[in-house]
Amino acid sequence: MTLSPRTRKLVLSLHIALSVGWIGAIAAYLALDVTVWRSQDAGVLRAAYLGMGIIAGWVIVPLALAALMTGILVSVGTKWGLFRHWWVVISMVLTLAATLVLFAEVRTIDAYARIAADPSASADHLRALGGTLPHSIGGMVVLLVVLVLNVFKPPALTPYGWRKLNPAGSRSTAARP
Amino acid sequence: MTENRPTEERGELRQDRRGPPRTPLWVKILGVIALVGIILATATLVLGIKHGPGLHGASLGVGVRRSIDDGRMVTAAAHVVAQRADRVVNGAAAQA
Repeated sequence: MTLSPRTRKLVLSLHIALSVGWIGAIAAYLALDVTVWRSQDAGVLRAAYLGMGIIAGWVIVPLALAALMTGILVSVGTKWGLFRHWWVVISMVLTLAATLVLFAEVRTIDAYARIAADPSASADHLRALGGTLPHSIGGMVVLLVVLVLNVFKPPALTPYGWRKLNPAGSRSTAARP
Repeated sequence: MTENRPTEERGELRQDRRGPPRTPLWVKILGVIALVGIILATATLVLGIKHGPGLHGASLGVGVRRSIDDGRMVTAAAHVVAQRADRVVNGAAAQA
């Protein structure tokens, strides 16, 4: 399946916007995570946890899913393919990993937000919640690695991609004892 | 926009045409990292493995710790109950 040039540009534009938006949303989330890590003030902590819950549930999760789907669509619908080049495969697997970790983490974030929304939650309890800083930093690093891979496109073919590019060579290799 | 064309079209690819290319080291490293992340996240989601800030060194209050360690979303009502239970326990300990 190959997309027409106009459709390809449209889907690629959408994919870039969603992916960059995902990185931006994590940057905003990171700011709140660092605030939680540094602050001792109950009001600031409450506001930060509520903000983290909203950003994670309503911005990061939808952007992650949409970026993953448009990324697969762009690769399948162009000459790059999904399994022909290592940079495409690794980008997809890293994005999938980041999305799954996000799904696992969003339950904790939601629990924090619910506790912060409870007016009877004491300042001590809010301070004791901790943050999700290791995950948000890890997520940002993974997305930046994917970004760099997508810009540089290291020229390395997978065995499948090599067979597609060299059908004659793959036949002669298979015929060897 | 030459960036949108496959690398082999740009003449940047120098693969051994006699056999499949070897897997680059960066692919192996990033692949292992990604697979570990996928396995851990899937295990956390499917098996309900305990996961939370307690594993990152933070100390939690009794009610909050119980809620988070269970890996489920806590309700505000449950939290209030846990908080009141803490107060009762602390009060009893102070009286003793």
